[in-house]
Amino acid sequence: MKKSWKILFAGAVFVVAIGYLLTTGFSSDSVYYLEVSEVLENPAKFNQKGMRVSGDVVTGTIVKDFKKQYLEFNMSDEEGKAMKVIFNGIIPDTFKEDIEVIVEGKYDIDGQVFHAATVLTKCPSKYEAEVDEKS
Amino acid sequence: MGQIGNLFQLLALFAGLAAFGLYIYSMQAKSKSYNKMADWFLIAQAVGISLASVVLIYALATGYYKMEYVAQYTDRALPMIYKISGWWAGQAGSLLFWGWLVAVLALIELFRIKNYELKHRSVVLAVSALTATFFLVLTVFVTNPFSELDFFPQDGMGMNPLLQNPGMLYHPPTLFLGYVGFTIVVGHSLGALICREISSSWAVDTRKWTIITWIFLTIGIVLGGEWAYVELGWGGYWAWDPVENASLLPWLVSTAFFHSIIIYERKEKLKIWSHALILLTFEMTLLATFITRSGVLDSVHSFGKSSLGYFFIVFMVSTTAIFLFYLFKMLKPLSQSEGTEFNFTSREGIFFVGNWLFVGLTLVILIGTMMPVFSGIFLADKITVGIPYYNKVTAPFFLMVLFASGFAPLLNYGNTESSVIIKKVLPSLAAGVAVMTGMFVYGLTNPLAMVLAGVTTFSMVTIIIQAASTIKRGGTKVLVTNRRFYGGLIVHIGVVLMAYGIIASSFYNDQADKVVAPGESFSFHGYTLQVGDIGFVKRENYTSAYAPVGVYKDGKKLFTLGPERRFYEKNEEAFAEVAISSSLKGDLYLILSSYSKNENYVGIQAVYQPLISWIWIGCVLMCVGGLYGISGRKKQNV
Repeated sequence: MKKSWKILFAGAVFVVAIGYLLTTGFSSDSVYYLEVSEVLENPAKFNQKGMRVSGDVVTGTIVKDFKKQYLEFNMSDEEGKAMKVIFNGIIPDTFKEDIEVIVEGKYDIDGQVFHAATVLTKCPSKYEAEVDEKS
Repeated sequence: MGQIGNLFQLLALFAGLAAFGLYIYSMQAKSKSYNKMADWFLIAQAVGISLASVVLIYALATGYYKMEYVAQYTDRALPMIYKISGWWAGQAGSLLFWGWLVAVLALIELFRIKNYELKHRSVVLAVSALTATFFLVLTVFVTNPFSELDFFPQDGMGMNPLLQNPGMLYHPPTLFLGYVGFTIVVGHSLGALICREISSSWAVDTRKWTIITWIFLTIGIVLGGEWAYVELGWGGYWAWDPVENASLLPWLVSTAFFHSIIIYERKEKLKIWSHALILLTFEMTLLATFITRSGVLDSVHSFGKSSLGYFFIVFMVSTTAIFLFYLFKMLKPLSQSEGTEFNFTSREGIFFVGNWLFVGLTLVILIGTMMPVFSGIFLADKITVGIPYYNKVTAPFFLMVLFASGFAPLLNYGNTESSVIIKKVLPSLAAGVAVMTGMFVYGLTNPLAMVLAGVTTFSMVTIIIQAASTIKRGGTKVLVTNRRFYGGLIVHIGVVLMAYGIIASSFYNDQADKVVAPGESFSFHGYTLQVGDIGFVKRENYTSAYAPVGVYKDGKKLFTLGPERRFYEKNEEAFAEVAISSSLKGDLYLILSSYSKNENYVGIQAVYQPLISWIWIGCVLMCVGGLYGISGRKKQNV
């Protein structure tokens, strides 16, 4: 076989393999990446894949129980739409009021609550702190 | 003070532009005197950016909080060493640091290649000057570390406690060195293209740059994992986080690059590949910096969003376009000089396949990492992928890379008879099968883990056979005379050991989460853990709450671990400080997840990570092997 044919053949096999990996990877392991308002518009659709939602923790809504590893809070987006989130697990050190969080899980349409499998705190505010007069 | 620093970086910016322009002009005009002048401007750029950096360090060290950057990342209580590390802790400072590194490396290269042909050296130095200038454009116009507030704050905001770890002192600088060095190599590659040079001399000449930079990158990535492991307190070292992925991309393509140039040098093949791979490496280092510093992707350690992205895109696209323009002009002469003979059952054939594997791996990780951006542009809904995606799509590649790394040394250059291959492969194959059988008997039956461990063993036995047979043939003196070969083998042993560590810790880690009253104990992974009552200690800028945990095995006390939670003065929330007992067999890793004095309970999260130490040991061997391989003079490495 000539060089060009061998390489062409191997290349074709390779491209097909990568394509297959990517499509199966994306169909089974991808999740929607959303804002709170988008979730509330069409939760049934997004529940099919699962979703990752980013938003702000609403001040005054946090209920924490370290012993039971229970966390409950409301999160909202820039439009002001808010939803309740419940998380069972180890509460991240950096979790507090007024920070941005990313939660992953599904929305319980009947209970109107988001069940989070993971809670990630987005870059702690210290990373880009606004310096103000009183500090 | 801010104005002085800003002035220095402005001067460096203009000096860089002047150097770039003069190098181009001196190439066109073939003028030695203009070339000389360009050298002076290049030196001026390095001096300017160094002085600017000195000003920044001074401001950080003395607490000049009027500069916003200083106030954002440090405060009075911060230990001095972390104040200085503020240079690379934030966005603006780290970009200045990048620019400074390029300028300094360019200066070294200026003296090293003093007597090179005018055209070639001009290209190399122009590339460096332009890259340093690009970073200065960012620090002058987009995110200036020297901008001042209109008031003088009493104190700064302090550094994020997660960054107050020795890792902060060495992880970012090593990683950055692992990026920046490739600027010099890509300059030589472009220089060879512009000078219409077909031979591999540019690649051979810069091998030390390549390997040393790659070693820094390797250390940087592994240190990042180690840092996450000891500091972030979730028991793992790699989470396919965008920032981690970003650093892996240049590593993968640079690894492919330095394998390619071996074939380029020895067999006059893979020439276009080599040029393309170093371009890709350079662009990936920029992309990695962009992903980390722009916050385009949400990640635990990305920074806020800004307009940085547009600058990076323009620079990356234009440098790629220029490079490809010259590469296309050389496409014909390069490919014609390669000849048409090609076999997959030759060493160069496997290297060629290896290139595809590394590029494929880079591609699937890149696509996954950038998915939130790509899907935001091309699809109706923004989607993203998590750990399962990466594990699934990268596993076949890692498997084949491991296999190829064991298979390639068995083959000759040119072509190998299949009967010879079978004879050579048998012992390693047998060892691989033996390990898989052993695992099966012990009940470690995860198919993917078995196959991975089998292939890893196959690879390791091949390396050992290879080393033993060559030493038998040539005597022990070959260890010294052919350092490049044995250096490579040591690197591969490091990779294999690391692979064992990764396989064991990914598939067979053990975790438990317990809440107990002080004095109670629970069993975990063959240990009995007795949890004592919470104690408190006051330290320099934090107070620590810790739980003494006695670790028992078969009724005998082994040692006591003390996982902590630290309360830093400027922070409301506590930070977990894990306790680890490390051995070659595995790590016992304890996190104090919660406690209450009033309600009288202590929450402990226990993790057992088998063979994880071998990841760090493998990394050390990879670095040692790399250094050994380049330690000899060129003539020794035949």
